[in-house]
Amino acid sequence: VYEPAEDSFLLVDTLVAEWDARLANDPPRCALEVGSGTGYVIASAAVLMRDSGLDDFRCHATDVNPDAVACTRATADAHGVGDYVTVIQCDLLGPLRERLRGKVDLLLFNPPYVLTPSEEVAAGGIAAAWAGGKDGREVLDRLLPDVADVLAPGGTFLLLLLHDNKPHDVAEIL
Amino acid sequence: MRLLTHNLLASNVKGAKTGFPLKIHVFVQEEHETAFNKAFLLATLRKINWIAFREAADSLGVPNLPELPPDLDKCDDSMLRKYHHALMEVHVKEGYLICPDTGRRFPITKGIPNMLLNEDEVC
Repeated sequence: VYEPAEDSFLLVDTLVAEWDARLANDPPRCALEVGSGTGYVIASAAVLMRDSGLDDFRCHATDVNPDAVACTRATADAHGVGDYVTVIQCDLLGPLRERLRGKVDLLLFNPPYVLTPSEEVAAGGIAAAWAGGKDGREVLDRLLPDVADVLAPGGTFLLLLLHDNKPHDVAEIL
Repeated sequence: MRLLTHNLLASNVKGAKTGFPLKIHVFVQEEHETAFNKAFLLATLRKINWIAFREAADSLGVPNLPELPPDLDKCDDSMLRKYHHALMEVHVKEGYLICPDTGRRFPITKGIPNMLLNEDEVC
């Protein structure tokens, strides 16, 4: 399972900063993390939501890796937010896409962003955590068309990118 | 997998029309007490697909939920606790979900559904 590293911490730090600056005023009630890995990020989000006094919120986490989903479940439970976090093994939004259409206030993604040959993307195993193919964008590019649909009005998408992933192009697509 | 989760899952297999709701086949189910949070429950019950919830509860041996969505403002606490129990406290640990349109089975292992598709099943 991909262990939390600088990129995970950056995502959580950014989430906390956004929370303090803006989100705390009208806290998101529905968060979804694609590729939750150890569950560090989604558990952090769930704790923020719980501690903000919301009694009606829900977090969802997906990952293709069976060890990652088990780990996410355990991490959420360990932080006392297990009852608020749904964990599914699937690709990207998977079976949640239709039912959560227009409902996600906070979408989180630390994608496989390393530039690799395309063949490595579908190779499976732990490489799925970082192999991003051409421009490190092959996995992210499959999610982008669904982002606008799944976000609730005013929803936030926190996405981690390298400069090499051509963030300006990503911004254009969005 | 609790029924709250089940209510959010729609099969995205190629050939599925709505893929919802998935049927549940249980091998192992457990019950785990979860704190009763009335505000959360009411808000959640207003959002779920009640018919899918009732059918799923039936298949897990929690029958006799009302056929139509109840008027939640008129429900007393004992009824709400019944809904809480069905929605949050019953967990399918091992079993599978079945796409209602294609029959494709998705295994549930240690309480987590595996909804990964094969290459030829992706739209």
